[in-house]
Amino acid sequence: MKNILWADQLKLKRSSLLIIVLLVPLLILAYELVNLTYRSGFVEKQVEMFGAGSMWMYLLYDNSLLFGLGFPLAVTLAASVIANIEHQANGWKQTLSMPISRGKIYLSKFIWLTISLFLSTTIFLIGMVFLGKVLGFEGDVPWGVLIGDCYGMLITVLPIMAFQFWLSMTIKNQAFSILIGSVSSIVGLFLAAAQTTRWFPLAYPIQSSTVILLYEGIGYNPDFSAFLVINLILGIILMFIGSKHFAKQNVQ
Amino acid sequence: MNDQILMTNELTKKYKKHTSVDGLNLRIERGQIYGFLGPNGAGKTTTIRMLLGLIKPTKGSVEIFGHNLNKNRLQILQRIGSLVESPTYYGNLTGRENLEAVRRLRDLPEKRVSEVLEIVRLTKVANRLTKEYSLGMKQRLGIAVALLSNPDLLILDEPTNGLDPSGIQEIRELIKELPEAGMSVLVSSHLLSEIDQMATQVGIINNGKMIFQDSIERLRQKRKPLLKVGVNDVMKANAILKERELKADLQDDFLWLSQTDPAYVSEINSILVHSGVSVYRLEEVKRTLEDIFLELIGTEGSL
Ligand SMILES: Nc1ncnc2c1ncn2[C@@H]1O[C@H](COP(=O)(O)OP(=O)(O)OP(=O)(O)O)[C@@H](O)[C@H]1O
Ligand SMILES: [Mg+2]
Repeated sequence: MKNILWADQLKLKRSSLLIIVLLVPLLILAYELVNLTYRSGFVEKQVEMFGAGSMWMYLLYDNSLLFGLGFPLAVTLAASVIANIEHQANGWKQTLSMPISRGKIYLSKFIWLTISLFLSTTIFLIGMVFLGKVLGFEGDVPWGVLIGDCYGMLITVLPIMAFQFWLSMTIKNQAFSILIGSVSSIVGLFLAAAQTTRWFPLAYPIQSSTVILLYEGIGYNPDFSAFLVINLILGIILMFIGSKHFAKQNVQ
Repeated sequence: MNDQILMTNELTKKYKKHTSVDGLNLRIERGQIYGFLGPNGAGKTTTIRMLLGLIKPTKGSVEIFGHNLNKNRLQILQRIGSLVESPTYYGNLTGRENLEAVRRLRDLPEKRVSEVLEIVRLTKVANRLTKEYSLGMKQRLGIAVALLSNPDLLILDEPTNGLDPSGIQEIRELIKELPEAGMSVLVSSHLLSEIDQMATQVGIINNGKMIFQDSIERLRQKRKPLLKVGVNDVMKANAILKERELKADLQDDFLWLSQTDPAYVSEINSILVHSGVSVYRLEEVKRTLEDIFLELIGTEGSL
């Protein structure tokens, strides 16, 4: 398995994966920077209205929508870049005629997708802490909520990751999987808004913040741990089904 | 030497109603260079894909190194190197990195990369991105990938596609040397002349069916010259010959006979002249392998 991972690492050289992985967190951080500086008057009013315990809480709440929309997009694009390397190289017939099980080839690329998204959330985490320090947020850095918010997203997004990855791996035309990924990210926003549909997997990333707006103001998300468990299990199941299907496919 | 290395049993692939490969019984023995010949769309690539386990046969089975492909795919692939149709290349990587990726996948010694680069003469451009390679260079890279693992069975689908004449010559010489190291080779082509210059065994496929499978010598024997006879009345002459149980073919207003030794030619001449037919031409016509190929595949092949 180590060999396959190293081979796939080489194949990703000079690809646009890194740009995509950095783009989403950096864009959101740039937005927050503008928001917290140029519109500081408006922000202060909101903090009061929502009863946010600290600026940290406000920051987490404020970016949860953008992150919930943007991160699935990063997932979609990263999955597409990783799969497209083989499509574009005309590489499946070569790679799959190597003496390596197809399941492992699928898994190796999925692991790289996970690694690159881990990188993305880590950048986001570091960026938020950096932003708070630079803007002089009061109080200690709430590491628990911040880390939970970033890496929690990585787990909540697993089902979408498994599905987008499978789409990109099995369908050559990447415009298709990117379209599906973008549409479902927006659909998730609407699903999350209603009580009944907010338990659909597509709606998870939007709600997967450690901090949400409750009745009594911004507070901790009571459903967060349930989301993590459901999505972890669902993600693993989908990944498994996708890999089984991939292994049976005819290769052109 | 009856050391069967590859054997297919009624191998068939259907796409919807169209049958691309139809009941193929391929036989390759150790050390052979098997030329797999057929016109465009004959089913060569489809067959090769099935041999590599890339697509599942509709019917039939494949046995390589004495094992069933379906049951021992990875074990068999361990000993195979292959190039299927248009070559694979990761354009964002250099030629050397392309080979390195395959080397890592197959866990081969590092020095093999430089060795195969040398073999296919890509050393000079090894550090250039492959998206800048010419078609011929990409093809060479594909051959290098196939050779990387030093396989027991090499499967090459149209390896000389896109190469210039000297490149074709080089690859041909390379392939001819491989059996000395104990390798067996399956090489496909739609050009008989190419197969003729390197193969020891030939399989001809047309419309998915095997129409000839034997040694190259047996194919060459079919190339014996014919006797072309020009007479004033072909019908009459044909009837006269038939009476004496001499078989002749009628084509293009000439009679065609299958022997050309002098005694036979004189006899034919004397028979016809004495029967009152005027003979104006007796000619020995040499046939090329292409003629035989076209004859074997019939007219459908020109599709
Ligand atoms: N995926 C597919 N779906 C439907 N038909 C296919 C598919 N792949 C191949 N065929 C058909 O199978 C037949 C054989 O194709 P194949 O590629 O094996 O020919 P070939 O002998 O390799 O020809 P060439 O010399 O042009 O490479 C063709 O008629 C082709 O249209
Ligand atoms: Mg072909």
